[in-house]
Amino acid sequence: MQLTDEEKRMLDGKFGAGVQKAMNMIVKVGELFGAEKTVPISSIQHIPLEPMDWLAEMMQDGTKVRTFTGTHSYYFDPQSWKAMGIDDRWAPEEELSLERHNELYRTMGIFPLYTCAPYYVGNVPRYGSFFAWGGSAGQVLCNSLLGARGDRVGGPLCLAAAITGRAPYNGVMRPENRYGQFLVEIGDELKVDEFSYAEYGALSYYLGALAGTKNVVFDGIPKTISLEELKYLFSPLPVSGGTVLCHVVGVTPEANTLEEALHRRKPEQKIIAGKKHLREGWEQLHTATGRDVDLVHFGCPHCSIKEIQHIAQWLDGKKVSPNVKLWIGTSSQTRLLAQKAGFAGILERAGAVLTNICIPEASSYLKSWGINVRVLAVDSPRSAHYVYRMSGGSISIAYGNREMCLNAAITGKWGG
Amino acid sequence: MRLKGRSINPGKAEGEVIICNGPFSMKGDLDPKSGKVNVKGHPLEGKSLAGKIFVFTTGRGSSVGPYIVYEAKKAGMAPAAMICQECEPIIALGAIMADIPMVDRLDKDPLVAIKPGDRVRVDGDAGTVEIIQRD
Repeated sequence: MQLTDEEKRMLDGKFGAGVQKAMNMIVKVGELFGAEKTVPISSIQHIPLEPMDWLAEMMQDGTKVRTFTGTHSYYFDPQSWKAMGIDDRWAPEEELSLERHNELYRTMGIFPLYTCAPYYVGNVPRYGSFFAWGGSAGQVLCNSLLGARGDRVGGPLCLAAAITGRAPYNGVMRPENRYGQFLVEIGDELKVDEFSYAEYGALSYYLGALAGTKNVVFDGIPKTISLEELKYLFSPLPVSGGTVLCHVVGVTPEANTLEEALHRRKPEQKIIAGKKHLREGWEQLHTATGRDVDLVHFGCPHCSIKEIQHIAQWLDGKKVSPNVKLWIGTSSQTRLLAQKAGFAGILERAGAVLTNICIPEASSYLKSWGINVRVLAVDSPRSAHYVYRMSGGSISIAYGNREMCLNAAITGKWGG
Repeated sequence: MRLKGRSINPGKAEGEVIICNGPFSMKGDLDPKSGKVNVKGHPLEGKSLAGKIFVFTTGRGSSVGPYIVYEAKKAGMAPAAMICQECEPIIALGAIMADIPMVDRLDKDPLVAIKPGDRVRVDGDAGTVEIIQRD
Protein backbone atom coordinates (compact mmCIF):
# COMPACT_ATOMS: atom_id res chain seq x y z
CA MET A 1 0.00 0.00 0.00
CA GLN A 2 1.24 3.45 -0.90
CA LEU A 3 1.82 5.61 2.19
CA THR A 4 2.38 9.35 2.46
CA ASP A 5 5.42 10.60 4.39
CA GLU A 6 3.20 11.52 7.31
CA GLU A 7 1.61 8.06 7.36
CA LYS A 8 5.08 6.48 7.34
CA ARG A 9 6.04 8.66 10.31
CA MET A 10 2.86 7.56 12.14
CA LEU A 11 3.77 3.93 11.44
CA ASP A 12 7.34 4.51 12.69
CA GLY A 13 6.03 5.78 16.03
CA LYS A 14 7.01 9.45 15.55
CA PHE A 15 3.57 10.52 16.83
CA GLY A 16 3.59 8.14 19.80
CA ALA A 17 2.67 4.52 20.50
CA GLY A 18 -1.12 5.01 20.29
CA VAL A 19 -0.97 6.59 16.82
CA GLN A 20 1.46 3.87 15.74
CA LYS A 21 -0.98 1.12 16.81
CA ALA A 22 -3.81 2.87 14.98
CA MET A 23 -1.81 3.33 11.78
CA ASN A 24 -0.63 -0.28 11.94
CA MET A 25 -4.29 -1.39 12.00
CA ILE A 26 -5.17 0.84 9.03
CA VAL A 27 -2.22 -0.44 6.97
CA LYS A 28 -2.77 -4.11 7.83
CA VAL A 29 -6.47 -4.06 7.00
CA GLY A 30 -5.79 -2.00 3.87
CA GLU A 31 -3.18 -4.46 2.61
CA LEU A 32 -5.21 -7.57 3.46
CA PHE A 33 -8.22 -6.31 1.53
CA GLY A 34 -6.42 -4.82 -1.46
CA ALA A 35 -6.49 -1.04 -0.88
CA GLU A 36 -3.69 0.72 -2.73
CA LYS A 37 -3.84 3.84 -0.57
CA THR A 38 -5.67 5.55 2.27
CA VAL A 39 -7.96 8.59 2.04
CA PRO A 40 -8.70 11.41 4.52
CA ILE A 41 -11.76 10.76 6.69
CA SER A 42 -14.00 13.69 7.66
CA SER A 43 -16.52 12.04 9.98
CA ILE A 44 -16.32 9.19 12.48
CA GLN A 45 -18.99 7.34 14.44
CA HIS A 46 -17.29 5.44 17.27
CA ILE A 47 -19.03 2.51 18.97
CA PRO A 48 -18.51 3.05 22.72
CA LEU A 49 -18.36 -0.63 23.67
CA GLU A 50 -14.59 -0.97 23.39
CA PRO A 51 -12.65 -2.60 26.23
CA MET A 52 -11.10 0.05 28.50
CA ASP A 53 -7.66 -1.62 28.39
CA TRP A 54 -7.60 -1.32 24.62
CA LEU A 55 -8.70 2.31 24.71
CA ALA A 56 -5.86 2.98 27.18
CA GLU A 57 -3.40 1.28 24.78
CA MET A 58 -4.62 3.47 21.94
CA MET A 59 -4.26 6.60 24.10
CA GLN A 60 -0.60 5.99 24.91
CA ASP A 61 1.57 9.11 24.51
CA GLY A 62 -1.38 11.49 24.58
CA THR A 63 -3.29 10.36 21.47
CA LYS A 64 -6.00 12.75 20.27
CA VAL A 65 -8.43 12.27 17.42
CA ARG A 66 -7.59 14.10 14.22
CA THR A 67 -11.09 14.25 12.77
CA PHE A 68 -14.67 14.89 13.93
CA THR A 69 -15.66 11.91 16.05
CA GLY A 70 -18.90 11.25 17.92
CA THR A 71 -20.14 8.24 19.86
CA HIS A 72 -22.78 5.72 18.83
CA SER A 73 -25.60 4.87 21.23
CA TYR A 74 -24.92 2.86 24.39
CA TYR A 75 -26.95 0.36 26.41
CA PHE A 76 -27.35 2.54 29.51
CA ASP A 77 -28.65 6.11 29.96
CA PRO A 78 -27.62 7.94 33.16
CA GLN A 79 -30.54 10.36 32.76
CA SER A 80 -33.41 7.95 32.29
CA TRP A 81 -32.52 4.73 34.15
CA LYS A 82 -34.76 5.55 37.09
CA ALA A 83 -37.80 6.29 34.94
CA MET A 84 -37.09 3.11 32.95
CA GLY A 85 -37.39 1.12 36.17
CA ILE A 86 -33.82 -0.16 36.31
CA ASP A 87 -32.97 -1.64 39.71
CA ASP A 88 -30.85 0.89 41.63
CA ARG A 89 -28.36 -1.80 42.62
CA TRP A 90 -27.11 -1.72 39.04
CA ALA A 91 -27.19 1.94 38.15
CA PRO A 92 -24.13 3.20 40.13
CA GLU A 93 -21.87 0.58 38.52
CA GLU A 94 -23.12 1.43 35.03
CA GLU A 95 -22.85 5.16 35.67
CA LEU A 96 -19.28 4.80 36.86
CA SER A 97 -18.27 2.71 33.85
CA LEU A 98 -19.84 5.23 31.46
CA GLU A 99 -18.19 8.16 33.24
CA ARG A 100 -14.78 6.46 33.00
CA HIS A 101 -15.29 6.14 29.26
CA ASN A 102 -16.44 9.76 29.00
CA GLU A 103 -13.34 11.00 30.78
CA LEU A 104 -11.11 9.26 28.24
CA TYR A 105 -13.26 10.53 25.35
CA ARG A 106 -12.94 14.12 26.60
CA THR A 107 -9.16 13.72 26.78
CA MET A 108 -9.06 12.37 23.23
CA GLY A 109 -11.47 14.94 21.79
CA ILE A 110 -14.34 12.52 21.06
CA PHE A 111 -17.83 14.07 21.31
CA PRO A 112 -20.30 12.21 23.56
CA LEU A 113 -23.21 12.25 21.08
CA TYR A 114 -24.43 8.76 22.11
CA THR A 115 -26.82 8.28 19.23
CA CYS A 116 -27.14 5.91 16.30
CA ALA A 117 -28.67 8.76 14.24
CA PRO A 118 -26.02 11.48 14.68
CA TYR A 119 -27.05 13.08 11.38
CA TYR A 120 -29.91 14.67 13.37
CA VAL A 121 -27.52 16.31 15.83
CA GLY A 122 -24.43 17.52 14.02
CA ASN A 123 -22.45 14.63 12.57
CA VAL A 124 -23.26 14.90 8.86
CA PRO A 125 -20.63 13.84 6.32
CA ARG A 126 -20.76 15.96 3.19
CA TYR A 127 -21.58 14.61 -0.31
CA GLY A 128 -18.51 12.92 -1.80
CA SER A 129 -16.49 13.04 1.45
CA PHE A 130 -15.25 9.92 3.24
CA PHE A 131 -16.58 8.66 6.55
CA ALA A 132 -15.87 5.72 8.86
CA TRP A 133 -18.91 4.86 10.95
CA GLY A 134 -19.63 1.95 13.19
CA GLY A 135 -23.27 0.90 12.98
CA SER A 136 -24.70 -0.34 9.71
CA ALA A 137 -27.87 1.83 9.75
CA GLY A 138 -25.76 4.98 9.75
CA GLN A 139 -23.42 3.60 7.09
CA VAL A 140 -26.23 2.92 4.62
CA LEU A 141 -27.92 6.31 5.25
CA CYS A 142 -24.70 8.33 4.80
CA ASN A 143 -23.79 6.48 1.61
CA SER A 144 -27.26 6.54 0.12
CA LEU A 145 -29.00 9.75 1.19
CA LEU A 146 -26.01 12.02 1.79
CA GLY A 147 -23.81 10.64 -1.00
CA ALA A 148 -20.85 10.48 1.38
CA ARG A 149 -18.60 7.43 1.02
CA GLY A 150 -17.85 4.85 3.65
CA ASP A 151 -17.21 1.13 3.51
CA ARG A 152 -18.36 -1.56 5.97
CA VAL A 153 -15.80 -1.27 8.72
CA GLY A 154 -15.36 -2.86 12.12
CA GLY A 155 -15.55 -0.92 15.39
CA PRO A 156 -11.79 -0.76 16.07
CA LEU A 157 -11.03 0.50 12.57
CA CYS A 158 -13.27 3.54 13.16
CA LEU A 159 -11.23 4.54 16.21
CA ALA A 160 -7.99 3.93 14.28
CA ALA A 161 -9.38 6.18 11.51
CA ALA A 162 -10.30 8.83 14.09
CA ILE A 163 -6.77 8.79 15.49
CA THR A 164 -4.94 8.81 12.14
CA GLY A 165 -7.55 10.75 10.14
CA ARG A 166 -7.17 8.09 7.41
CA ALA A 167 -8.83 4.84 6.31
CA PRO A 168 -8.13 2.28 3.57
CA TYR A 169 -9.67 3.26 0.20
CA ASN A 170 -11.94 0.29 -0.39
CA GLY A 171 -15.36 -0.93 -1.49
CA VAL A 172 -18.04 1.73 -2.05
CA MET A 173 -15.57 4.50 -1.20
CA ARG A 174 -14.48 4.06 -4.82
CA PRO A 175 -16.96 5.66 -7.27
CA GLU A 176 -16.69 2.71 -9.67
CA ASN A 177 -18.13 0.42 -6.98
CA ARG A 178 -21.24 2.53 -6.35
CA TYR A 179 -23.48 1.21 -9.13
CA GLY A 180 -26.77 -0.48 -8.30
CA GLN A 181 -26.67 -4.27 -8.52
CA PHE A 182 -29.97 -5.39 -7.05
CA LEU A 183 -32.94 -3.58 -8.60
CA VAL A 184 -36.26 -3.42 -6.77
CA GLU A 185 -39.22 -2.22 -8.82
CA ILE A 186 -42.18 -1.33 -6.64
CA GLY A 187 -45.10 -3.27 -8.09
CA ASP A 188 -48.48 -1.59 -8.72
CA GLU A 189 -50.19 -3.61 -5.99
CA LEU A 190 -48.10 -1.88 -3.30
CA LYS A 191 -49.51 1.49 -2.21
CA VAL A 192 -46.16 2.87 -1.06
CA ASP A 193 -47.47 6.42 -0.71
CA GLU A 194 -49.65 5.12 2.13
CA PHE A 195 -46.91 2.99 3.73
CA SER A 196 -46.30 3.19 7.48
CA TYR A 197 -42.75 2.97 8.82
CA ALA A 198 -43.44 -0.67 9.68
CA GLU A 199 -44.44 -1.44 6.08
CA TYR A 200 -41.35 0.21 4.62
CA GLY A 201 -39.32 -1.67 7.22
CA ALA A 202 -40.86 -5.11 6.65
CA LEU A 203 -40.49 -4.87 2.86
CA SER A 204 -36.84 -3.81 3.15
CA TYR A 205 -36.15 -6.51 5.71
CA TYR A 206 -37.41 -9.13 3.28
CA LEU A 207 -35.46 -7.67 0.34
CA GLY A 208 -32.22 -7.16 2.32
CA ALA A 209 -31.77 -10.90 2.73
CA LEU A 210 -32.08 -11.38 -1.04
CA ALA A 211 -29.70 -8.52 -1.81
CA GLY A 212 -26.91 -9.87 0.43
CA THR A 213 -24.04 -7.38 0.18
CA LYS A 214 -25.14 -5.96 -3.19
CA ASN A 215 -25.90 -2.26 -3.74
CA VAL A 216 -29.69 -1.88 -3.90
CA VAL A 217 -31.76 0.40 -6.17
CA PHE A 218 -35.41 1.18 -5.43
CA ASP A 219 -37.48 2.39 -8.38
CA GLY A 220 -41.04 3.58 -7.76
CA ILE A 221 -40.71 5.23 -4.34
CA PRO A 222 -42.61 8.57 -4.09
CA LYS A 223 -40.37 11.65 -4.39
CA THR A 224 -42.13 13.06 -1.31
CA ILE A 225 -40.73 10.31 0.96
CA SER A 226 -39.60 11.82 4.29
CA LEU A 227 -36.24 11.45 6.00
CA GLU A 228 -37.94 9.30 8.65
CA GLU A 229 -39.47 6.99 6.05
CA LEU A 230 -36.11 6.69 4.30
CA LYS A 231 -34.58 5.66 7.64
CA TYR A 232 -37.06 2.75 7.77
CA LEU A 233 -36.43 1.91 4.12
CA PHE A 234 -32.61 1.83 4.47
CA SER A 235 -31.92 0.53 7.95
CA PRO A 236 -33.29 -3.06 7.66
CA LEU A 237 -31.18 -3.84 4.56
CA PRO A 238 -27.92 -4.44 6.50
CA VAL A 239 -29.81 -6.37 9.20
CA SER A 240 -31.13 -9.23 7.09
CA GLY A 241 -28.28 -8.71 4.61
CA GLY A 242 -25.11 -6.63 4.28
CA THR A 243 -26.03 -3.77 1.94
CA VAL A 244 -24.17 -0.52 2.55
CA LEU A 245 -25.51 1.58 -0.36
CA CYS A 246 -29.10 1.95 -1.55
CA HIS A 247 -30.09 4.32 -4.35
CA VAL A 248 -33.69 5.55 -4.55
CA VAL A 249 -34.52 6.78 -8.04
CA GLY A 250 -35.60 10.41 -8.04
CA VAL A 251 -34.77 10.80 -4.35
CA THR A 252 -31.10 10.11 -3.51
CA PRO A 253 -28.32 12.23 -5.05
CA GLU A 254 -26.63 9.58 -7.21
CA ALA A 255 -29.92 8.35 -8.69
CA ASN A 256 -31.59 11.16 -10.63
CA THR A 257 -32.52 8.47 -13.13
CA LEU A 258 -32.54 4.66 -13.05
CA GLU A 259 -29.72 4.60 -15.65
CA GLU A 260 -27.57 6.82 -13.43
CA ALA A 261 -28.18 4.59 -10.39
CA LEU A 262 -27.15 1.52 -12.41
CA HIS A 263 -24.13 3.28 -13.97
CA ARG A 264 -25.77 2.37 -17.28
CA ARG A 265 -25.29 -1.36 -16.65
CA LYS A 266 -27.82 -4.12 -16.50
CA PRO A 267 -28.74 -4.94 -12.88
CA GLU A 268 -27.30 -8.26 -11.67
CA GLN A 269 -30.65 -9.15 -10.14
CA LYS A 270 -34.14 -7.68 -10.38
CA ILE A 271 -37.32 -8.16 -8.38
CA ILE A 272 -40.80 -6.67 -8.63
CA ALA A 273 -41.80 -6.07 -5.03
CA GLY A 274 -45.33 -7.10 -4.16
CA LYS A 275 -47.69 -7.77 -1.30
CA LYS A 276 -46.34 -11.25 -0.67
CA HIS A 277 -42.81 -9.89 -0.02
CA LEU A 278 -44.19 -7.34 2.42
CA ARG A 279 -46.22 -10.02 4.19
CA GLU A 280 -43.30 -12.41 4.36
CA GLY A 281 -40.98 -9.76 5.88
CA TRP A 282 -43.69 -8.92 8.40
CA GLU A 283 -44.18 -12.57 9.37
CA GLN A 284 -40.44 -13.11 9.84
CA LEU A 285 -40.32 -10.16 12.24
CA HIS A 286 -43.45 -10.94 14.27
CA THR A 287 -42.53 -13.76 16.66
CA ALA A 288 -45.00 -13.14 19.51
CA THR A 289 -47.79 -15.68 19.93
CA GLY A 290 -49.90 -14.33 22.82
CA ARG A 291 -51.62 -10.94 23.20
CA ASP A 292 -49.87 -9.55 26.28
CA VAL A 293 -47.24 -6.86 25.67
CA ASP A 294 -44.65 -5.86 28.33
CA LEU A 295 -42.60 -3.20 26.57
CA VAL A 296 -43.18 -0.89 23.59
CA HIS A 297 -40.16 0.76 22.00
CA PHE A 298 -39.74 3.38 19.26
CA GLY A 299 -36.42 4.72 18.06
CA CYS A 300 -34.27 2.07 16.43
CA PRO A 301 -32.65 4.03 14.80
CA HIS A 302 -33.20 6.94 17.22
CA CYS A 303 -36.31 9.08 16.73
CA SER A 304 -36.24 12.55 15.20
CA ILE A 305 -38.05 15.45 16.85
CA LYS A 306 -40.83 15.00 14.27
CA GLU A 307 -41.41 11.42 15.37
CA ILE A 308 -41.47 12.50 19.01
CA GLN A 309 -43.97 15.23 18.15
CA HIS A 310 -46.30 12.68 16.50
CA ILE A 311 -46.05 10.25 19.41
CA ALA A 312 -46.68 13.07 21.93
CA GLN A 313 -49.73 14.28 19.97
CA TRP A 314 -51.14 10.77 19.86
CA LEU A 315 -50.53 10.21 23.60
CA ASP A 316 -51.74 13.64 24.76
CA GLY A 317 -54.26 13.04 27.57
CA LYS A 318 -53.87 9.23 27.45
CA LYS A 319 -52.12 6.91 29.91
CA VAL A 320 -49.72 4.05 29.31
CA SER A 321 -51.05 0.85 30.88
CA PRO A 322 -49.54 0.08 34.32
CA ASN A 323 -48.52 -3.34 32.93
CA VAL A 324 -46.51 -1.86 30.07
CA LYS A 325 -43.41 0.28 29.65
CA LEU A 326 -43.17 2.69 26.73
CA TRP A 327 -39.64 3.78 25.86
CA ILE A 328 -38.84 6.28 23.13
CA GLY A 329 -35.22 6.18 21.98
CA THR A 330 -33.64 9.43 20.84
CA SER A 331 -30.43 11.41 21.31
CA SER A 332 -30.08 13.44 24.50
CA GLN A 333 -29.89 16.57 22.30
CA THR A 334 -33.26 15.80 20.74
CA ARG A 335 -34.65 15.01 24.19
CA LEU A 336 -33.61 18.52 25.27
CA LEU A 337 -35.44 19.94 22.27
CA ALA A 338 -38.51 17.83 23.16
CA GLN A 339 -38.41 19.34 26.65
CA LYS A 340 -38.28 22.90 25.29
CA ALA A 341 -41.03 22.19 22.75
CA GLY A 342 -43.31 20.78 25.46
CA PHE A 343 -43.46 17.20 24.10
CA ALA A 344 -41.40 15.74 26.94
CA GLY A 345 -43.99 16.94 29.49
CA ILE A 346 -46.86 15.35 27.56
CA LEU A 347 -44.93 12.07 27.29
CA GLU A 348 -44.03 12.08 30.98
CA ARG A 349 -47.66 12.69 32.01
CA ALA A 350 -48.69 9.78 29.79
CA GLY A 351 -46.09 7.55 31.45
CA ALA A 352 -43.66 7.26 28.50
CA VAL A 353 -39.90 7.59 28.91
CA LEU A 354 -37.49 9.41 26.59
CA THR A 355 -34.18 7.56 26.67
CA ASN A 356 -31.00 7.50 24.58
CA ILE A 357 -30.28 3.78 24.99
CA CYS A 358 -29.68 1.38 22.12
CA ILE A 359 -32.47 -1.17 22.61
CA PRO A 360 -30.71 -4.17 21.01
CA GLU A 361 -27.65 -3.62 23.23
CA ALA A 362 -29.80 -3.00 26.32
CA SER A 363 -31.94 -6.10 25.72
CA SER A 364 -29.23 -8.45 26.99
CA TYR A 365 -29.12 -6.54 30.31
CA LEU A 366 -32.87 -6.18 30.97
CA LYS A 367 -33.22 -9.31 33.07
CA SER A 368 -30.25 -8.47 35.31
CA TRP A 369 -31.61 -4.93 35.73
CA GLY A 370 -34.84 -6.38 37.13
CA ILE A 371 -36.94 -5.65 34.03
CA ASN A 372 -38.88 -8.67 32.91
CA VAL A 373 -39.87 -8.54 29.24
CA ARG A 374 -41.46 -11.44 27.42
CA VAL A 375 -43.00 -9.47 24.56
CA LEU A 376 -41.62 -6.31 22.99
CA ALA A 377 -43.77 -4.32 20.54
CA VAL A 378 -41.90 -2.36 17.86
CA ASP A 379 -42.27 -0.90 14.37
CA SER A 380 -38.58 -1.32 13.54
CA PRO A 381 -37.05 -4.41 11.91
CA ARG A 382 -33.68 -3.65 13.51
CA SER A 383 -34.94 -3.87 17.08
CA ALA A 384 -37.24 -6.79 16.18
CA HIS A 385 -34.38 -8.79 14.67
CA TYR A 386 -31.66 -8.03 17.20
CA VAL A 387 -33.66 -8.11 20.43
CA TYR A 388 -35.18 -11.47 19.52
CA ARG A 389 -31.74 -12.92 18.80
CA MET A 390 -29.69 -11.19 21.50
CA SER A 391 -32.17 -12.31 24.15
CA GLY A 392 -31.77 -15.89 22.91
CA GLY A 393 -35.45 -15.93 21.94
CA SER A 394 -36.60 -15.18 25.52
CA ILE A 395 -38.09 -11.88 24.28
CA SER A 396 -40.51 -12.33 21.39
CA ILE A 397 -41.62 -9.52 19.13
CA ALA A 398 -45.00 -8.02 18.32
CA TYR A 399 -44.30 -6.23 15.03
CA GLY A 400 -46.75 -3.62 13.82
CA ASN A 401 -47.17 -0.01 12.78
CA ARG A 402 -46.84 2.91 15.17
CA GLU A 403 -50.58 3.09 15.91
CA MET A 404 -50.73 -0.65 16.72
CA CYS A 405 -47.73 -0.25 19.06
CA LEU A 406 -49.20 2.85 20.74
CA ASN A 407 -52.51 1.05 21.25
CA ALA A 408 -50.65 -1.83 22.85
CA ALA A 409 -48.93 0.66 25.18
CA ILE A 410 -52.33 1.97 26.34
CA THR A 411 -54.18 -1.34 26.62
CA GLY A 412 -51.35 -3.78 27.39
CA LYS A 413 -52.72 -6.02 24.63
CA TRP A 414 -51.64 -6.57 21.04
CA GLY A 415 -54.55 -5.83 18.73
CA GLY A 416 -56.63 -4.74 21.71
CA MET B 1 1.81 -32.16 6.61
CA ARG B 2 2.44 -28.46 6.04
CA LEU B 3 -0.04 -25.96 4.58
CA LYS B 4 0.98 -22.60 3.18
CA GLY B 5 -1.23 -19.52 3.06
CA ARG B 6 -1.49 -15.84 3.87
CA SER B 7 -0.53 -14.20 7.15
CA ILE B 8 -3.36 -12.16 8.71
CA ASN B 9 -1.54 -11.52 11.99
CA PRO B 10 1.97 -12.62 12.98
CA GLY B 11 2.96 -14.77 15.96
CA LYS B 12 3.39 -18.49 16.59
CA ALA B 13 1.18 -20.90 18.49
CA GLU B 14 0.72 -24.63 18.92
CA GLY B 15 -2.29 -26.47 20.21
CA GLU B 16 -5.28 -28.73 19.77
CA VAL B 17 -7.68 -28.03 16.91
CA ILE B 18 -11.35 -27.11 17.28
CA ILE B 19 -13.41 -26.71 14.11
CA CYS B 20 -16.53 -24.76 13.19
CA ASN B 21 -17.76 -25.79 9.76
CA GLY B 22 -19.36 -22.42 8.97
CA PRO B 23 -19.03 -18.67 9.53
CA PHE B 24 -18.47 -17.60 13.15
CA SER B 25 -19.53 -14.36 14.85
CA MET B 26 -17.42 -13.47 17.88
CA LYS B 27 -20.21 -11.15 19.05
CA GLY B 28 -23.06 -13.36 20.20
CA ASP B 29 -21.44 -16.76 19.58
CA LEU B 30 -18.51 -16.44 22.03
CA ASP B 31 -18.65 -15.65 25.74
CA PRO B 32 -15.36 -13.79 26.26
CA LYS B 33 -15.23 -14.44 30.01
CA SER B 34 -15.33 -18.23 29.75
CA GLY B 35 -14.04 -18.67 26.18
CA LYS B 36 -17.04 -20.92 25.56
CA VAL B 37 -19.69 -20.97 22.86
CA ASN B 38 -22.88 -20.37 24.79
CA VAL B 39 -25.47 -20.37 22.02
CA LYS B 40 -28.20 -23.03 22.11
CA GLY B 41 -28.16 -25.19 19.00
CA HIS B 42 -24.73 -23.95 17.85
CA PRO B 43 -22.54 -26.80 16.52
CA LEU B 44 -19.90 -25.87 19.14
CA GLU B 45 -22.43 -25.34 21.98
CA GLY B 46 -20.73 -25.72 25.36
CA LYS B 47 -17.23 -26.10 23.86
CA SER B 48 -14.33 -23.83 24.80
CA LEU B 49 -12.08 -22.07 22.29
CA ALA B 50 -9.59 -21.05 24.99
CA GLY B 51 -6.01 -21.98 24.09
CA LYS B 52 -7.21 -23.95 21.04
CA ILE B 53 -6.35 -23.56 17.38
CA PHE B 54 -9.70 -22.41 15.99
CA VAL B 55 -10.45 -23.45 12.41
CA PHE B 56 -13.55 -22.03 10.68
CA THR B 57 -14.77 -20.89 7.27
CA THR B 58 -14.91 -17.12 7.81
CA GLY B 59 -16.20 -14.46 10.18
CA ARG B 60 -19.62 -12.86 10.12
CA GLY B 61 -21.75 -10.48 12.11
CA SER B 62 -21.46 -7.38 14.23
CA SER B 63 -18.76 -4.76 13.79
CA VAL B 64 -18.00 -4.90 17.53
CA GLY B 65 -16.87 -8.56 17.23
CA PRO B 66 -13.17 -7.60 17.50
CA TYR B 67 -13.82 -6.15 20.98
CA ILE B 68 -15.05 -9.58 22.08
CA VAL B 69 -11.88 -11.30 20.81
CA TYR B 70 -9.80 -8.72 22.68
CA GLU B 71 -11.74 -9.25 25.91
CA ALA B 72 -11.34 -13.02 25.60
CA LYS B 73 -7.59 -12.56 25.12
CA LYS B 74 -7.33 -10.32 28.21
CA ALA B 75 -9.26 -12.93 30.20
CA GLY B 76 -6.86 -15.63 28.97
CA MET B 77 -9.76 -17.33 27.19
CA ALA B 78 -9.04 -16.56 23.52
CA PRO B 79 -8.04 -19.12 20.90
CA ALA B 80 -4.23 -19.54 20.69
CA ALA B 81 -4.43 -19.06 16.92
CA MET B 82 -7.09 -18.83 14.19
CA ILE B 83 -7.27 -20.40 10.74
CA CYS B 84 -9.88 -19.39 8.16
CA GLN B 85 -10.65 -20.46 4.63
CA GLU B 86 -11.05 -16.80 3.66
CA CYS B 87 -11.15 -14.11 6.31
CA GLU B 88 -13.36 -11.00 6.17
CA PRO B 89 -12.48 -7.58 7.65
CA ILE B 90 -14.22 -8.00 11.01
CA ILE B 91 -12.51 -11.24 12.03
CA ALA B 92 -9.16 -9.95 10.69
CA LEU B 93 -9.51 -6.89 12.94
CA GLY B 94 -10.21 -9.18 15.88
CA ALA B 95 -6.94 -11.07 15.31
CA ILE B 96 -4.99 -7.83 14.85
CA MET B 97 -6.56 -6.09 17.85
CA ALA B 98 -6.08 -9.04 20.22
CA ASP B 99 -2.73 -9.94 18.61
CA ILE B 100 -3.60 -13.57 17.91
CA PRO B 101 -1.66 -15.43 15.17
CA MET B 102 -3.95 -15.94 12.19
CA VAL B 103 -3.66 -17.31 8.65
CA ASP B 104 -6.07 -17.84 5.74
CA ARG B 105 -6.06 -18.81 2.01
CA LEU B 106 -4.15 -22.05 2.65
CA ASP B 107 -3.09 -24.18 -0.34
CA LYS B 108 -5.31 -27.01 0.98
CA ASP B 109 -8.80 -26.47 2.41
CA PRO B 110 -8.16 -26.37 6.18
CA LEU B 111 -11.64 -27.77 6.89
CA VAL B 112 -10.67 -30.93 4.99
CA ALA B 113 -6.93 -31.20 5.69
CA ILE B 114 -7.21 -30.53 9.43
CA LYS B 115 -9.29 -32.71 11.76
CA PRO B 116 -10.77 -31.93 15.19
CA GLY B 117 -8.31 -33.03 17.87
CA ASP B 118 -5.19 -32.67 15.64
CA ARG B 119 -2.26 -30.84 17.18
CA VAL B 120 -1.04 -28.14 14.82
CA ARG B 121 1.58 -25.42 14.81
CA VAL B 122 0.52 -22.07 13.33
CA ASP B 123 3.20 -19.67 12.15
CA GLY B 124 1.47 -16.33 11.61
CA ASP B 125 4.72 -14.73 10.37
CA ALA B 126 5.26 -17.23 7.55
CA GLY B 127 1.54 -17.90 7.00
CA THR B 128 1.95 -21.65 7.51
CA VAL B 129 0.19 -24.44 9.41
CA GLU B 130 1.92 -27.70 10.32
CA ILE B 131 0.02 -30.77 11.51
CA ILE B 132 2.30 -32.29 14.14
CA GLN B 133 0.11 -34.99 15.65
CA ARG B 134 -3.06 -36.80 14.68
CA ASP B 135 -5.23 -38.93 17.00
